[in-house]
Amino acid sequence: MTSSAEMSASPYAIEGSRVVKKYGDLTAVDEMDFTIKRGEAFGLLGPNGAGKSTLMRMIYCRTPLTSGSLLVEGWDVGQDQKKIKALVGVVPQENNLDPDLNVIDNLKVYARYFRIPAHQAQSLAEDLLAFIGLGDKKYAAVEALSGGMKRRLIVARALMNGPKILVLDEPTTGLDPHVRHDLWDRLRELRRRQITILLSTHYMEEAQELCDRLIIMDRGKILASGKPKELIRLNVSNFVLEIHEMDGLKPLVSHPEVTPGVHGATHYYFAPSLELLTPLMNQYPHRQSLIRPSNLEDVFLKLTGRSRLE
Amino acid sequence: MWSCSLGQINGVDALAVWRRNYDVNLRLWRAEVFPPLLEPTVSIVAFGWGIGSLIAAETLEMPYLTFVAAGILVVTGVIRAILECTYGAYFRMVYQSTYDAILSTPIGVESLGAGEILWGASKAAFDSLLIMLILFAFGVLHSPMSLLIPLVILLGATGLASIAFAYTVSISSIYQYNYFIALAFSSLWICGAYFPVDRLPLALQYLSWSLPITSVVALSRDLMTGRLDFWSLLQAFWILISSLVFSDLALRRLAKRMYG
Repeated sequence: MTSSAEMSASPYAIEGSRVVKKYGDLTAVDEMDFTIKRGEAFGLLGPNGAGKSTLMRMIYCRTPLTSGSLLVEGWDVGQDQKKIKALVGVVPQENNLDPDLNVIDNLKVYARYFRIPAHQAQSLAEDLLAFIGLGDKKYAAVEALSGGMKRRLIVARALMNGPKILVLDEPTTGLDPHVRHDLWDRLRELRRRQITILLSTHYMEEAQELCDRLIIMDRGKILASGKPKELIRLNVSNFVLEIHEMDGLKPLVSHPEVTPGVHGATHYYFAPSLELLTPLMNQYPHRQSLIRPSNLEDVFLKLTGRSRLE
Repeated sequence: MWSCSLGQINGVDALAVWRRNYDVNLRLWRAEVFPPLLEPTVSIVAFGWGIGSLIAAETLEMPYLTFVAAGILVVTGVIRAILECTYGAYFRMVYQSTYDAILSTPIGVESLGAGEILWGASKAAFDSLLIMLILFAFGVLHSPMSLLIPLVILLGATGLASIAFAYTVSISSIYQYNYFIALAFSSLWICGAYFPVDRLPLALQYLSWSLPITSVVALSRDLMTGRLDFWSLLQAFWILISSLVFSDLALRRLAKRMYG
């Protein structure tokens, strides 16, 4: 058991050590070790079935661990569920707003589960609805809201208990770019308020925009972890040339510093400088091609693509 | 080591879950309060006056209207509790993911289950109160002890709602209710609501008395007529024990489903 003294001394909001989750023969999370610092925005990246949601559910005590240790704000997920749940706000992957209640009642009824007094819940709910831009939809039926509004309402609901940690499982999946950017703005605002944010996503841009550090995972294992820029620097060269519609063709080997790669019908060439890529691009004048700085998506495809081939 | 899951219930948390359902029903109160009263009222008139006119009061030691009123009172409440803890609960659990949302808060799984079961039982007790107003108008509440009937129904319906809830959290498809509803509704015909249990073949009598609802009907009838005896006490005991056992079972099954 962790003492409260140790808890306050630890800089970590979440500490996982050899965390394992098995469903029968399937190992969803496989001996993961990680730490998330207090106040940081931490991302989980991985393809479908990587174990991101399972890991998050274990953190907010919705799924028990098979083995290992997981501490949230110093509390053990196996023993201190009530304390942990009081500190965590959850935005699940599936919309689970209450369709039997209107917008503001969704927040007020939820507040009751945290034993927030009714008058306090009312003003808190109104403030949060204003924060997420749903102030004029207080009495609307949940079913009448658009997809983006529902996601924002779930974020507001997750903030009702004034959480120290906000867990968001693919918060912007299926949303149009305007709504996504709008939600990012709110999350940045929460980050400024020193709330620890743990977020899973399929969008590399989202991870790069929002996360201080992240993990790229697949099949329950960590493939790489670190700051987004660091991950790019360590795993791929600075620049990349993309050449499309290359079906059936093999990539060329032009220079020792140029690393070729194939994904579908697209060839990728990674290099530390633009000069090394321009001659290659000129070899395919009739193909659609593009030279750009490397990004997290390149790292993701490289790491998860490789792991899938294995 | 075996431990009773009822000990894990937190009253305040269970009440928060109960109040979520209460709030929803308050919004829909017109649809929730009046339509359910129509059918039992017509039943009491049809059975009590219609069939009652064919039955001599001496065979039952009371007018048939009184006899059947107690039965219909209980059966109506129990059906409400069962529907709430079958289809109602299944919708909240599976289609609306309400349980998933609640379990992301400090509410424990046992308190969640307790809130749901108590809600079903409360609806049964509330309906029985309203039907008793009608029965009062019919002049069949012969004893002031009748005022205790909603409490008996609350306790009895807790057990029956628990059975329904235990089934709900054990199934994977809504179509599996066909089996449960067939059995549950069949049992309503042999629970002594419409005719005395001792008119059944012996084997069916044993079966009937093993069903907690039979005791709820018998005890409610005793209270309605003010004829309490040792058997009434035994019925109360069996209702209490079965409610505890079945609610414990339901909460265990819920925990298994939610945390597998």
